Amino acid sequence: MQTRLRSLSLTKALATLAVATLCGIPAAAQNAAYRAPRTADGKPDLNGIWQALNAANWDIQAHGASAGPSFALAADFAVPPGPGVVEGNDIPYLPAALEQRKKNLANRFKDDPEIKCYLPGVPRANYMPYPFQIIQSQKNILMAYEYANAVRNVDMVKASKAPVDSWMGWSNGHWEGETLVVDVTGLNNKTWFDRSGNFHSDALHVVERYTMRSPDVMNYEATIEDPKTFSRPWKISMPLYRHVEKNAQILEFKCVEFAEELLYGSLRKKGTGPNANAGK
Amino acid sequence: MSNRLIASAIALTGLVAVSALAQTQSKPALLAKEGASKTAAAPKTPEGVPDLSGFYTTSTTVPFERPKDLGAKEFFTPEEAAAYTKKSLAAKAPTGPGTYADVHYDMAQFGLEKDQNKVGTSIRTSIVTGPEGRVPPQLPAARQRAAAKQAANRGHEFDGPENRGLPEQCIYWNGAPPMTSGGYNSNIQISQGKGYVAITSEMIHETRIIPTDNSAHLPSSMKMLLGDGRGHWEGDTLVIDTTNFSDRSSFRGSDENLHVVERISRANADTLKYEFTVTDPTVWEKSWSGEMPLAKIDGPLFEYACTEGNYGMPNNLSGARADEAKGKVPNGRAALGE
Amino acid sequence: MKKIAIALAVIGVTLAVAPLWAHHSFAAEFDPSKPVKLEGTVTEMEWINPHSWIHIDVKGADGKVVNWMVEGGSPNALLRRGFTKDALPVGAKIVVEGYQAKDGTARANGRDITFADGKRLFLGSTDSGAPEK
Repeated sequence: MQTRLRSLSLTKALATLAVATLCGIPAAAQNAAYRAPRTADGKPDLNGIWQALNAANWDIQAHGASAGPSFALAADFAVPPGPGVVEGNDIPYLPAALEQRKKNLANRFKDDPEIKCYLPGVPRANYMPYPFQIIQSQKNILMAYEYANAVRNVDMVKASKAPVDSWMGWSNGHWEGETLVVDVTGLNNKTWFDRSGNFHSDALHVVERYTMRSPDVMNYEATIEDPKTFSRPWKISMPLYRHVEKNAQILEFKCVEFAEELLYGSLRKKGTGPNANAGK
Repeated sequence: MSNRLIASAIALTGLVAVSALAQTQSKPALLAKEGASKTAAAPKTPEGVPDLSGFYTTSTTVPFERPKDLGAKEFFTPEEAAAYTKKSLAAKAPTGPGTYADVHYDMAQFGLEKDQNKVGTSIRTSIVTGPEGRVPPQLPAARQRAAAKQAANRGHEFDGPENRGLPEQCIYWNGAPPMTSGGYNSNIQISQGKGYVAITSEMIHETRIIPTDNSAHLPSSMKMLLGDGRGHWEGDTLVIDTTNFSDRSSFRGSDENLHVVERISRANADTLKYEFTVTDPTVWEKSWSGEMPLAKIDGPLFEYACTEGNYGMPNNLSGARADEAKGKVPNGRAALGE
Repeated sequence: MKKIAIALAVIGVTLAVAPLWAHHSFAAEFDPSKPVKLEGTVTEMEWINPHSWIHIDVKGADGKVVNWMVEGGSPNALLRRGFTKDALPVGAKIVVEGYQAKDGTARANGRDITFADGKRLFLGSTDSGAPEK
């Protein structure tokens, strides 16, 4: 019995190590199963202000630097490089979807919904280059994002179904040991995974896993499943870092106004605008 | 003044329509008469602070300002309150050819009428408390500023998106404090986590995140539509102090000097008691206060993505350009003689 | 701060009576001199905000099919009552009475929306003041 258990746990350890090395989160973090401080109701405490620290919002795959959309803005808005957050670096597009992705990439400085301050969807909201706050209770976990006041309510009590699709989806959550597991459905087909045109259909199903790995760092993983777009599920993973500065705060980034001239400029009265007071 | 004034006026119309639905839905939440003590101990979160969390509507049958004919009467009897509520719910806006309702969708068909949804009720005759029950007059300089701005915009209401108002621009509805009885979808979610209370408004998916450590406000140069809120607990009451307002989310004429203090506590299992005090020395000579119920509703909030589906803005601008092309002055309700 | 002007103008009206449609001026969008009655087949319903939109194929007198879009209310109250996106399926036949957009495109407000048998879509309403047919 003991031998079998030992070889089982060895197998498990090897498997975990294999998975861990593929997705770039050190195996030590996986195996050590860091025990996070608890909330008053005995759950791992995920409360805090968090932010990803990578180039995933530009392109979730490994990519080199490239030119941005504007000569005038030059280096400021060039695309920075990134090692990627996709396990295996492969996004298994179905053939027709791959063609669409290439079109999106070619038109990304026009068609990326982020340009219009549209809601970012899941998982992209979690790796926008802006902070978000987790407010955690037994009944619900609220994720409030600085970008565009995006917000998600994770129901921790009763899993239910979305009556219609939405931009930020429908989130049901539960605990598995140290990990918050969030099952997200009801996502519409209008968001992108990044600024480079990686996209999905309304059949998207995301399963997220949030696990503290040290007092101020969380492992975030998301499994993407969308049989209309991809030939198999695939996974992204990255650390999320806690904002530890004393004055950390989610501030107001209402970017809708900055998109108005783009969206409606052609319909304004001749001889007026653009609005010089946007954001003031 | 603009957008929250619109929302508040919308609430005013709550004078006109309220909840026959009260009969078909669960009992309306009645606020206990002033002075009555709370019965059971208020429930607490696992952290040991009062549990105010849940879903609530800010829609109420209590008018924002006291109807003039009620004079100094601050409270109805329960019977008078019920009769007033019933009467105001029964009245509806005029419909028929030539009215605004005619060029609009049918609100009741979509369940958006006030009497089709839960409302909070109370025996107060107005949300504004005190002997007058009305918002004090603005200081003359403030009135002049407002009039000048109004004059400057006259004739430009459809020039561009920035002339349409924050709600139509999908920038802001009425999420800033003080909370008021909004139009439809007048719902909030209160979430509590260690050291914070979050208040999410359904329209337009805004969340006020309030630390409960009574920390210092942001530097005064930071101005936000929802302001900067700092909270602390006083016994069973959450006190929220908000400053750093932009003048654009103006509340009944307030400007960037607005300072709002809110007090939220549990009145009973189905209702929160919500009080607020408004101070703005460049607009009102003295502070004024209000109180209204927040009635519990079944959750969840539904997503109100706005700019993503905002056909209305291009449609309105396009309609205005079409009017101009025909030599007509673009306008909305004036065309209907209202 | 041009918004104050709009607000004040709106307030003047809402103090008189009113409903809560100040966030979007329907009277700026639709033309009361262009009434329409559209009988068509649903091709899509957008359950979105700030307004839902029902798209219908309408066969004109000339036999040509035109796809109209009809403006409805925020769907959130319907969702609260348990309606889902399956509540108005593609292919359903509906009748819309309203007014056409000022810019002449195939767009109308859905002042009355019924099924072919006269049953109201979604919820009942008080008298909508529809003109005599």
